[in-house]
Amino acid sequence: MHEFTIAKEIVMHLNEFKKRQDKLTIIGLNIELGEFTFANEEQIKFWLKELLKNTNKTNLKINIKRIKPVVYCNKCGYSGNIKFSADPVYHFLLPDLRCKKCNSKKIDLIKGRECNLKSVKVKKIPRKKKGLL
Amino acid sequence: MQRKTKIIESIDGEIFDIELSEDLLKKNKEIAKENKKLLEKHNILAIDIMGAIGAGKTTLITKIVSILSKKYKIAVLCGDLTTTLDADIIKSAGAEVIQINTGKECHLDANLVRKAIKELPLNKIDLLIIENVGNLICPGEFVLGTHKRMVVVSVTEGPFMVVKHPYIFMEANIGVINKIELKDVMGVEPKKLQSAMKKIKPGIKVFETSARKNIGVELLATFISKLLK
Repeated sequence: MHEFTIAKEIVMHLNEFKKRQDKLTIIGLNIELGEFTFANEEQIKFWLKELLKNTNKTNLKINIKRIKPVVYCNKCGYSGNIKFSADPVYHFLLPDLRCKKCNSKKIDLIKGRECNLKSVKVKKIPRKKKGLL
Repeated sequence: MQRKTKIIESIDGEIFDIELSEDLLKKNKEIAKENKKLLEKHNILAIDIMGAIGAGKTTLITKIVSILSKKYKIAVLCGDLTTTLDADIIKSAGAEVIQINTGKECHLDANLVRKAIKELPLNKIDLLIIENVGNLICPGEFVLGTHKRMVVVSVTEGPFMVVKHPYIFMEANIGVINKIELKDVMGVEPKKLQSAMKKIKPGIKVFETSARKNIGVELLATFISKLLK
């Protein structure tokens, strides 16, 4: 259910943006979602459409980019991606949360948990129509 | 004569991107950081205990409290949609207990924990245990400001509980396989659950327990007491 919370947060940011930039109309959103984030892409899109259905933003183009995990190894200093293994039990590639270089378990995830409203695609409102959304 | 400065700006109808980089879970992360800072100021170790409904979190916490309260002052926050059933049980073991009723929310968040922490006598507490709402998905996303995160599963949840919910284990430092006295009845091999946890999170520390029969709880309590030193 927290996809609804995320969608609500996005709408709040859009309203704040609109207050600051009244000469621009928002036509699209770019969202970043880490592969280890507990949020479902389709549900975020669904709730955004629901929350925006009575506004003039029903045709908003929602682009969600998945961010691959990046780790930092506290033992050898390696910073980079991790290995994945294909285990038929799991219906996805299972991440190997160890350092790719020295096999240490002492790693920190530095990318892959994003849940960001990265940017908005905007269109400058023609002068005669200024003041309208 | 001063020359007019040229201005380059977007033209009417032009389409472009504006960077916002807003972290949508920022508020929770910020409050969690504040919670952690406050707990550390009072030298309190905090553990977030997650797991499904019926995994045995409450019984396990009660037993841990019974063992550790002889030496340490313990507070417990119990997260549930409603009732004070868990809080009433744990209180009898000798901990300061606060019930957090989320209403309809499927997880605790840092703000609810902040409110509860304010009600605790922090200078009289060594260990804070937070029993999260019974759920194996949403609590993983919402950090609370604890030092460790524990996931409790039980053999009665079947042999595939870990492989079906891999993401929550990526968040955990400690894994507990509970109700092992029922492993034969259930036809579940705890070792398989343990290796599934370790495959998902190689650094995880796993304990096999039966909170009801007092099996393995002492080991887990000793592990926690070592973290307190």
